[in-house]
Amino acid sequence: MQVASTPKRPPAPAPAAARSKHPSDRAGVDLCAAIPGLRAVLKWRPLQFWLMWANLVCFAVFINAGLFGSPVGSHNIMIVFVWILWWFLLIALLVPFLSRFWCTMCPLPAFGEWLQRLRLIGVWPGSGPAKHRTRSLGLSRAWPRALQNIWLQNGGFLGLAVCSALLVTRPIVSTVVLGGMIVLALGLALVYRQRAFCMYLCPVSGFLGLYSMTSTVAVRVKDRALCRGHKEKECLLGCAAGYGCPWFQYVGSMERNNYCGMCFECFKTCPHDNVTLYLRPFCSETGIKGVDEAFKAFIMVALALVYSVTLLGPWGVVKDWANASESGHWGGFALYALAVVGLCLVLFPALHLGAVALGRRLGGGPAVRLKAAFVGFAYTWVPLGLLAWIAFSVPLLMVNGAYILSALSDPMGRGADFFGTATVAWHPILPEWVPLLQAPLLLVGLFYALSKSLQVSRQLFGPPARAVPAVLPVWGLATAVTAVFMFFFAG
Amino acid sequence: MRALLHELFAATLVTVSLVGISAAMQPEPATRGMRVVSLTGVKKDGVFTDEKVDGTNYWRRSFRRATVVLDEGETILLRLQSADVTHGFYVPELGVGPVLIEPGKVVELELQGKRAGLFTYYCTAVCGHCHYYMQGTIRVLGRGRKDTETAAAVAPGCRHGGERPASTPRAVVDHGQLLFASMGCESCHGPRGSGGVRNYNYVKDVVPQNNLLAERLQLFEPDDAETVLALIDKGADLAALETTPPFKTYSRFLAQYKAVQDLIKNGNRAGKKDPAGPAPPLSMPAWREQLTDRDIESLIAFLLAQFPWDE
Amino acid sequence: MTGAAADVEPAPGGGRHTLFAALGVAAGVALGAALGLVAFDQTEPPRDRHIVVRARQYAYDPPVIRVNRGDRLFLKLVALDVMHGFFLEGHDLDVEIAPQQSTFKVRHPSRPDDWTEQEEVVVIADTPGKFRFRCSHTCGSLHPFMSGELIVEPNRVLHAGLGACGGLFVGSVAVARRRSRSASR
Ligand code: SF4
Ligand code: SF4
Ligand code: SF4
Ligand SMILES: [Cu+2]
Repeated sequence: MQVASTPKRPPAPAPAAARSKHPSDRAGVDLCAAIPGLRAVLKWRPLQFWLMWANLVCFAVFINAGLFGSPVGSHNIMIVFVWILWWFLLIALLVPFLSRFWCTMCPLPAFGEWLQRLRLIGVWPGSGPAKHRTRSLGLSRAWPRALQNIWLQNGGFLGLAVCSALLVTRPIVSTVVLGGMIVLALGLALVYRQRAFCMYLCPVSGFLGLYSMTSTVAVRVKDRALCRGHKEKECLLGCAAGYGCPWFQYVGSMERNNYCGMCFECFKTCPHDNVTLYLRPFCSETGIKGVDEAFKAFIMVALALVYSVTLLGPWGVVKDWANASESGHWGGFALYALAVVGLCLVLFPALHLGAVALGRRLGGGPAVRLKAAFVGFAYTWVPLGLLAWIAFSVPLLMVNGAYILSALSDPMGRGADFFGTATVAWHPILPEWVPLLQAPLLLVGLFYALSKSLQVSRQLFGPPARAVPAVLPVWGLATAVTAVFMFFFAG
Repeated sequence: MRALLHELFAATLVTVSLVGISAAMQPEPATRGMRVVSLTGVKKDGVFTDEKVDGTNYWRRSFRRATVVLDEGETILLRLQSADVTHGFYVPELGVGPVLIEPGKVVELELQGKRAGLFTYYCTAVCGHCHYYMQGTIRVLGRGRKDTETAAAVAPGCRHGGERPASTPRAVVDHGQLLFASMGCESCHGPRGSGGVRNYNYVKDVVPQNNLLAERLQLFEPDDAETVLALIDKGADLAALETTPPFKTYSRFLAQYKAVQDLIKNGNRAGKKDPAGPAPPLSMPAWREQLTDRDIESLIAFLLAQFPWDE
Repeated sequence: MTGAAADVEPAPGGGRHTLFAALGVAAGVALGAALGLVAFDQTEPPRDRHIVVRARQYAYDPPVIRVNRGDRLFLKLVALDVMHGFFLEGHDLDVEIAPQQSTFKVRHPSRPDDWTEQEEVVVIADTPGKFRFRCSHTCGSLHPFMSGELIVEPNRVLHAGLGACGGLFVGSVAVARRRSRSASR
């Protein structure tokens, strides 16, 4: 289904001078070279439409069930599929292995993007040069400079997290939040350029980006020198074959997965087929940029701790506080919200700062700016946080997996039975093995945290004689935090 | 041109699938050739309601108590659901139930209007604060009769225990009165323990009235009752008074007092009149986890104060 | 790659260094875990415990039941508000608890549904570890998160896990310092 207006072009030969002597300067397996047909699939324009459509259909089911189905969360597909199945797939499989592949198919910004393009599949070609090679509907403003960071995402995510006990148990709350995101994304698409919502507002985006740094796949160019010499820059500016990167990335020098939404437009636009998908080791990127990203890392670890207490823990008082709209403990809720926000934004960052400052002394270094060390070492919490989240999500699936079967057959909780599985009774699968799975996951997280933070330390402090002492306090903190998780999960 | 067709196809697909799904997800339940009546149990209001309960309204508002009306000889299909916790459903006189209704599941039952009259349905699984008010009426209309009969004596709506009763000289009696309403005692024992609520196939036919408690406690003089009330109000330990017993029948009173306390604490299953018949829908529940000793004393004090000495 | 050797341009003989580091860290983890197991592995002699567990929306009281291996637990289960369940992991036990009753219904999930009405249920804590008990009877919004914990000491997974954390840390430190010393020489 090649779009007719775009004649199929063979990859243009790159100017010989621009070709680098060493085409691949980064580690990893070029999946497009290894898997026949993969490049063709990624270049196929309707790919994203079909993926989005499939998810949109699921979404429509969820929204309908949330509005008109049973208010009982554990028997409503909105809750069961989003917060058990989707969440597990996202955190345990998609992010660590496939980076932001979820954003390829996420239906939330679909309407906004389609409206911007006035197309669902094809390209709206422009006539002018440079910026006007493709057109878009709406005001196409630039996102305000002061907000070109992920603080809004941090705030939004934290806000939702404080209300998580309502969000993950009431279908209607999930419906309102997800529906609201669609509307917001649509509105923003008409005012701002491209995927402004995804880049700066989507609450999920922050952690998808952060944890995608660990991912085993990455969209990168094969040859950077080629890009440097390539004036047309279709990957950035678009052409008849596709749009300029909707995520404002320049793939020619892109080094991190964080803000690449894997839309695969650059595969379509690059005339030299210079963009490809790399398979690489887990945790290949270690560079956190900016205090906003560092805080995202803190927030994620802290929230994993919070949820281990609130949702998985046995303490009824905390549940009453978190569940104030039903229990009426609004005073407790205020306390709870304060504690959560305080832990995420004050206590945890303060501990990190303390460890980093101490390490900076041990590493002998006014040469290294404290801020740089603070931000750099924040990467410690990325693998640890991700693995802690996976460990947190494992029991969700093992314990409540049976709900998936029953919700599949009876999405509204209204007595339907589409596939004969509606009456499957709740039965946990090997729940007594959960701690035995969680403990090793935590250790893997700690291992990567230690190893990668040393790597960061080497970059900051140089020779091992300085880098090793500098990292020790952070190592200690990471070990202590892992031990706390160990207590929650296994003790 | 082909591109345009593709776009049109895609747009149509999106529209049709979204609209189609929304339509397909409002299924009409199978009727099995009968009229269908859907009842949903709602904990916070203590009702089975015939309104549709879903995400858009459950957390916002109260629901009305359903009265099920059918003709004599007609059979209807009851679709019973719960919007929150496990409820039960039982119509002893029409031989339906008791069944448990689990949240998120649907229980379908056939209900036949065997004979004209008013019948009561009950929730039989304790479902929270308003459980004892969770009853309603099934009205079976005689041939050619219109729906004009007076409603059966159904418990009043659930009171969440918020309202303070008119204050009496004794705080303990006030507290007892509050509990009598808020715990739902009145739903079976009648306003102020005046009794008389029917309990199908129960040996005594109706739930015992308990405003005659003074008599049962062997208190035959208003003065004796006053003495006891004063003692309870002070919080005295009736079993270990320092002074001599205040009246002659005190030891007999004490034994009965203890027995009544135990009855409230541990409950009692209502005996069947016809051993082959259905279990009576109402039984004395065990209150030991919900009420403190002081609460139970207060209830007794309240009921003592209800004795009609004038008559 | 390990906490120590990794990632920096390997010096000549870097492969051997990496292997050595990996072994060092692994030894730390194993030693730590073993140490954790041994250090905490003491329990008191078994005894009988009588415990009343009160279930309410959405928790149990006591939230954590801590016992020793071999203890016999005589559990009385009570519901305070609405119907709850008590599904005890690893002990083939599921209970349906209705409020204001003096008995509760017990079944064993491994066997076909036969509920028995009981006033008390006996649990033999013969396997050490952490076992959650969960509500198995939908009881409201937070029902899926209603759980409590039975901890049978010695809780080996925890001890080994904590020991392994410590071992990983100590092992990494040892390897890293050795490495930094050899590099500075
Ligand atoms: S950033 Fe958020 S809204 Fe955008 S595609 Fe990803 S998940 Fe969806
Ligand atoms: S990736 Fe972009 S800059 Fe590089 S060659 Fe392709 S179009 Fe040119
Ligand atoms: S166009 Fe941008 S967001 Fe899309 S895959 Fe390429 S770099 Fe990633
Ligand atoms: Cu429960």
